[in-house]
Amino acid sequence: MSSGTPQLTAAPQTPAETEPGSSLWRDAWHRLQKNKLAVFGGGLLLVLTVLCIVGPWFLRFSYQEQNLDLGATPPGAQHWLGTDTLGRDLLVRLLYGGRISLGVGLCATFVALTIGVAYGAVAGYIGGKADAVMMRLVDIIYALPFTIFVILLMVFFGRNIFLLFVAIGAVEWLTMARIVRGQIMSLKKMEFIEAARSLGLSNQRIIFRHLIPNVLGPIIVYTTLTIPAVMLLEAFLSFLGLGVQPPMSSWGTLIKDGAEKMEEFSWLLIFPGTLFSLTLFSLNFLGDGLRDALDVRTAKD
Amino acid sequence: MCLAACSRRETPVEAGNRAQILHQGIATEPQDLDPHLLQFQSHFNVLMALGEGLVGYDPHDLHPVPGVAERWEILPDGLVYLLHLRADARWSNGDAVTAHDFVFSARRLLSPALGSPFRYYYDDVRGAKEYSAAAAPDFSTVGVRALDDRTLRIELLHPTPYFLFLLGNWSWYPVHRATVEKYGRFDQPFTDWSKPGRFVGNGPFTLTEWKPGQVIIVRRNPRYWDAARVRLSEIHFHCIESSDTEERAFRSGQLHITENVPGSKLRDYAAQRPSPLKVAPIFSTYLYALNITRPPFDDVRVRRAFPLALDRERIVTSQIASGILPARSFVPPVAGYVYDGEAGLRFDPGEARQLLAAAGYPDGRGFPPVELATNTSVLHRELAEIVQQMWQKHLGVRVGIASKESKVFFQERMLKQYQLSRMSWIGDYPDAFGFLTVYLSDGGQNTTGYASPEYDRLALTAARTLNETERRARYREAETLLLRDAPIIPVFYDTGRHLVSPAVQGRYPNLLEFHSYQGLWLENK
Repeated sequence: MSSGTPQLTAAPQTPAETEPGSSLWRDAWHRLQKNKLAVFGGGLLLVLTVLCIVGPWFLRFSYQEQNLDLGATPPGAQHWLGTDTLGRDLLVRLLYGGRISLGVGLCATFVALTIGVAYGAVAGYIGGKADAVMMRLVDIIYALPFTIFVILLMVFFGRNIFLLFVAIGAVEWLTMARIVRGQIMSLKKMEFIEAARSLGLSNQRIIFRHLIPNVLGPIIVYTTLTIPAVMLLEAFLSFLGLGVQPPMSSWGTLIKDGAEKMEEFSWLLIFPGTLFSLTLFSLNFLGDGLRDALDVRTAKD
Repeated sequence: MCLAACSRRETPVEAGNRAQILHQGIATEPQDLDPHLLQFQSHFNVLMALGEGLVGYDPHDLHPVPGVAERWEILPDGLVYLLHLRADARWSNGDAVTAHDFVFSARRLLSPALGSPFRYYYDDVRGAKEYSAAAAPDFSTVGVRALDDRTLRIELLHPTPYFLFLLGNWSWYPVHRATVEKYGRFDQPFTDWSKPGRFVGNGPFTLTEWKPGQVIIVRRNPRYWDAARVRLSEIHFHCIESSDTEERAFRSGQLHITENVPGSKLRDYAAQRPSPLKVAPIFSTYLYALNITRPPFDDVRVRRAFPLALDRERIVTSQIASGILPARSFVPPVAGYVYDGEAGLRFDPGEARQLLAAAGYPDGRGFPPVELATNTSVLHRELAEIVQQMWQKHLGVRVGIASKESKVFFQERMLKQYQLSRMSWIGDYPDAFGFLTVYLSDGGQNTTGYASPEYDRLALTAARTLNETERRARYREAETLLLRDAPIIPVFYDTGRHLVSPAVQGRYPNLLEFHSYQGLWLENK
């Protein structure tokens, strides 16, 4: 408590010069580049995302264009990944489905991340009564059966892809809030926060500049776990008829349909399955790498 | 020890063949086993094991054979039926099945409070309509009367050529009065009387267990009058909605008989020798029902445009749907009547577009979003996707697809909470009226809101005409009107497609898929 005061008078402008944020990020970037798996994962995700976004524009077929005379055909020169039973090109459907699945995964996770981190950090930092009220609210929402909650949201707000993102995100933030709150609780007692406080920084600046960058490790790990969970949830909701509606595709629905027909038309399962697993692996590698890069303490092997 | 552990376990089918336990798939699970509240014809498979009507059906050609009634007389005017019940007919609790049971059952089915969708089966009976419309509170005005314990007298309003056949239908199945009244009012729907442990039936089997969503188990009823002829000891009815899952269950030896076969597997199975695939024409049409009480389908031009834009030829030749025929009309041409009138269904996208434009939606512009509801099944969804694509291509109309859980799906259809709804209609008796009766203004299964006095008049006149040629000509007039008013979009004539284990003996294809269990047994060959 008392050690902070002399520093304040000695060098009032130093905190601005040695802004810790920028060098921290640069360091992390360097460390991340050394992690081959993480770079591979990140690169693959980037490629997949770009392919899903621009790919369908360059292909000759549309995701809903049927060719009933053709039916299901194995991969060939015309249709690189084959066609489904309605004669639709699997590659286009896969890329198009990727837009939905990655979109749901990233958007919903982003929503969850934003709400969860801010909420958890505020609750953890303020503490006391405000914390108790905020966390009880989380407990209450937690107690609602997760799937039923999402289904209720869908029933009330109608079937709409955008709402699907929001609905899932609005439910997924709870765990994130708890994790962040726990981390903040332990961090806020540490000396650098004491220092920041005695420098007269605002609560907002302390939370977002000093506390949250220090809990990025767990946040990132949890985020990489949330994305696949959300993608699976989307598949599940589509299965119940609440998610994407035919003829649109998502990886979840493609895999489900492929699984039904895997014995006759194995490619209908192999390609979507492989792509989905690759994405999940990439996300995990990238998440691992990011955690190591951002949190130096746990990265020491 | 290792040998025992490594050797293949006996499959349910193999075990069943030894112990005469039949494993049969029934696709969707019934909501209730009350014969008066049945929904799906496929559930009649279960009811036929649990109950018996006055007459039964010959397993080959479906002509009525003695059931609870051992013989019957039809008085010369064709209006009065005297049915003589057999003395040894018993309920599964030992009570005798009497003519009074049939009178009680008729009163129950017709009571407005029960809300049975099958009241129309009694339309030909004198006084039945008035009673079920609550216009005549006294049941004695209805022409169903017990002359004594073993004689039932049924009086009709007009001669009805297929009436004897109707008497074998589930709507004429007796229910056990004491049991029904023990668990609720006699006319209260969906009470607990039909649950395992409570159910009392008069069929060759009794209900022993019902695992929700999985299996309904029935066991041989030793008190059944013809028990000597029943060779199966148990039947397990498996509720497996996905035909792909059902096919896998069949292959892994868990089912003797499947309710469906996935289209993509038909070719494989047809090539096998001996082939377990049994495909036979049935009296059934696959169609989309329109809710004509709401826009946009309250406009007949829109209704006519939609079926014209369907290329049925391509649907039936696609990979997902082999073994079916494109629909030219509502009534399938398999029961002696073939529709060849001028309103036959055809594919004409040009005319469809014109009709839609005339209705105010040129090229589909401004057409409100409509939703096609199906129950959850890959086949229904894929067919819907084909149809969706055709409508978008030929009409420029966007149709959404909503797959719904069966119970919700059927409930919404009954309550008219839909715009377009998938439907399969299988005639209840092999006469065109088994189809045309559906869209009578007061038809219990008429969920479209279609009500045309002219159609009612034509269809009912036809049904009461005894001369065959004359009757068919009348049916043609009625069907022409129905197809013009287009409350429905027939898609294809269905076939019965089942995988049947070679061990199943005594099962024959027939138009209505009524397979009685009395002559059925299992034997490895």
